[in-house]
Amino acid sequence: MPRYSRRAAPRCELGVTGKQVRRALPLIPPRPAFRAALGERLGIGYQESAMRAPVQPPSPRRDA
Amino acid sequence: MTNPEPDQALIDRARGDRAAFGELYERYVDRIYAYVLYRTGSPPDAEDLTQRVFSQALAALGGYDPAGGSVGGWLFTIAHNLLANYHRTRARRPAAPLEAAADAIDPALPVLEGLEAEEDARAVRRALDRLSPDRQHLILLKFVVGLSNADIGRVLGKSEGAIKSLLRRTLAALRRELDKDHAPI
Repeated sequence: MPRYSRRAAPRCELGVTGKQVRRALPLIPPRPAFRAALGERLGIGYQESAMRAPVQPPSPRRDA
Repeated sequence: MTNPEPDQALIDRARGDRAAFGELYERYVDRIYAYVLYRTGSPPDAEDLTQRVFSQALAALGGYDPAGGSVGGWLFTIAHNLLANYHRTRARRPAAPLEAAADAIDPALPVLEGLEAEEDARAVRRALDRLSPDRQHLILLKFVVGLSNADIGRVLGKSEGAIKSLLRRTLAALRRELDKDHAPI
């Protein structure tokens, strides 16, 4: 029976989960200025709501 | 609390009302941007491609057919085709786009808590970067973008069943890559 380091053991036993992948690859939002400028260029009436705070990556911190 | 207007209804309304397209933009812009950023590893290129995705979608509203899949699947198909052109016009893909994209995270964002969580995330990213581009792509569409297997199938031109099977094999391959990094003592 092979021995694993303490931190590696759960991963080896349970495999890679979607939660692990989402933590490794968080949803990276665009710059708020870019988001607002593009909305304006597209002429879709987006500029006002674009001034809200940037969206935080949802899964990694919720899963932590 | 009212239910959000379905994507399909927004598309129908957007044909005569650009503000409705603004709602779709708000729903999808973060995921489209993250998708192209992870596939290019370059924030400036990701911004350029994100702009093209929404410009093309706006111009092609009349051509959207709900029988072909969800609005999300349609938007990511546009992004996928633009990325295919992007990679064709370059000599080669970046060596480690996932790691490069992750490095682009604004350091002010508290993305991960603690050194151990960050080390684990890096280990997974290193393992992902060793998978084939096709497998990385599949992982992105499923776990970062959050598309259904049916929509992933539409983007990649495969059946839903084939995607399910590919996902299972890809997660197994990822596990093997991680195990190489944490070899038995």
